[in-house]
Amino acid sequence: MSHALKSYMVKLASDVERLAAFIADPQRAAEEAGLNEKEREILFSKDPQRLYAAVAHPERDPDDQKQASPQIHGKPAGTGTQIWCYQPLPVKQQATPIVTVNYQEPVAAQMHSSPPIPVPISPTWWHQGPAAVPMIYGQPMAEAGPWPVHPVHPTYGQPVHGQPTHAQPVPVIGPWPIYPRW
Amino acid sequence: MFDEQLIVIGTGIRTIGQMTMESIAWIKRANKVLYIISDPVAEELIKTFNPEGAESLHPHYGEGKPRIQSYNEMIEKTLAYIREGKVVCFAAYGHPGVFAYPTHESVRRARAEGFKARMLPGVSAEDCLFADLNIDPAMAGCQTYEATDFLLNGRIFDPSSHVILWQIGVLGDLTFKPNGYDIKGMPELLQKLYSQYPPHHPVVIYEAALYPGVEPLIRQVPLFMLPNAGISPISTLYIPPAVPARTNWSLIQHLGIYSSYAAPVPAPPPPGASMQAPPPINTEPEKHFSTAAAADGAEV
Repeated sequence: MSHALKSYMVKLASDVERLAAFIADPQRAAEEAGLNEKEREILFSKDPQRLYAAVAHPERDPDDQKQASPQIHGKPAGTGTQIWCYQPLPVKQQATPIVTVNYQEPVAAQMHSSPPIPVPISPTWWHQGPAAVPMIYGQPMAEAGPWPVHPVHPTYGQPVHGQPTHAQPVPVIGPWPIYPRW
Repeated sequence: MFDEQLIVIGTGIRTIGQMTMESIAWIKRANKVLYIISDPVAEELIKTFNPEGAESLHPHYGEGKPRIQSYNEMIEKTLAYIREGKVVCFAAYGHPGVFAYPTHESVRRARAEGFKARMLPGVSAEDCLFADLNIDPAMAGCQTYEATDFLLNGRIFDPSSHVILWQIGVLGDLTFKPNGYDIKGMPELLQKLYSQYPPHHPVVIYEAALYPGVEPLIRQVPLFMLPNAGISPISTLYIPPAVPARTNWSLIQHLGIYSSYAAPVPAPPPPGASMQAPPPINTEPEKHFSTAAAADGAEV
């Protein structure tokens, strides 16, 4: 890899004419910018991890960095850490509530026993007209079940489909470091 | 005019397209550009336009170090350069004044010491959320909290409004952890949310896209699945309204705007072909809060 992709992205961020040309015809603009086939493939990959790897470490091949994490203070970030999540329950303890709420069925029991339930459309939204209904991918959010409607995230892996399962550890950090400021 | 000694700018969430021309101009103009940015494109842009003065503030973060300590060091460094007579540009990702302590505090202290300081707006994650989730905060009101603050300080929220919790991925942790956070306040957060929302209320984990052509992360889950929703440190939690607004019909009549509020509700959009059919909707005539009335109110 070279620095051409990174330089081109900097130019896109700072030159409105280039950005306009890119929006009008991305492939042609990238070709005219002198990006080679591999760089163009990464630019149009829609894969944030590959894009990050390509611009963060242009001297390396981003496809060789798939398992690598960004470096923060010389140390790899996001290696082997998992978010807090429900622990897998032994079969005999499936009904044990983890979080009990003011509803008839404890949450943990719901997670094990309940089939996916379409979310009813909140009367709030209808009272306020269709414009108030949150939309996801062009569909009213409440109609977009079963959860989740989002495709598999390239970084964070498989979402939980249909029947809830609760033993899926998820990597905690994305392809880039995050610096809180609050 | 344009004689600021401290200018605070935001690079947006997606640098390509969201960084303003004014911000770029100030990066070129400044003697010193201090930045908190994780996007290599934005960092390279700053180094390209101001190779002499670019300086990262990342080294002030430390594993397990209280973030407030890091922020105070950043503020001190900023003010030190200003006192030397340099024009300082403080660049932060997103909007520099939204959920950003060191930027606000730098401006406040610089002004207190008699220096001219200004903050320029940028595109925040919340701005991206409104666009990507297609919600208008004016429609039901919007409450925005930092997740840990929401939990610790007894914030009272309205389930008839949009609720947005920032930094859900660092919930309950006031330090910096480059290898990720354990989100140890999650059970307590769920308990608090269950006081107003049913467990199956849909919520959305949202992460804005950082690069052109990349789709934002929009993951809808029921509330009780939140701990398993793949929360990362850059995640924002969006909770849609769950109950109707508490409309004061007496006041509406008193104000003489009843006819606008009683306007018929527009027909609901047809369900998607590939989606499940929605449950039957009660179409009995009611006195609805109409979008037309909201628009009228906004114009007034």
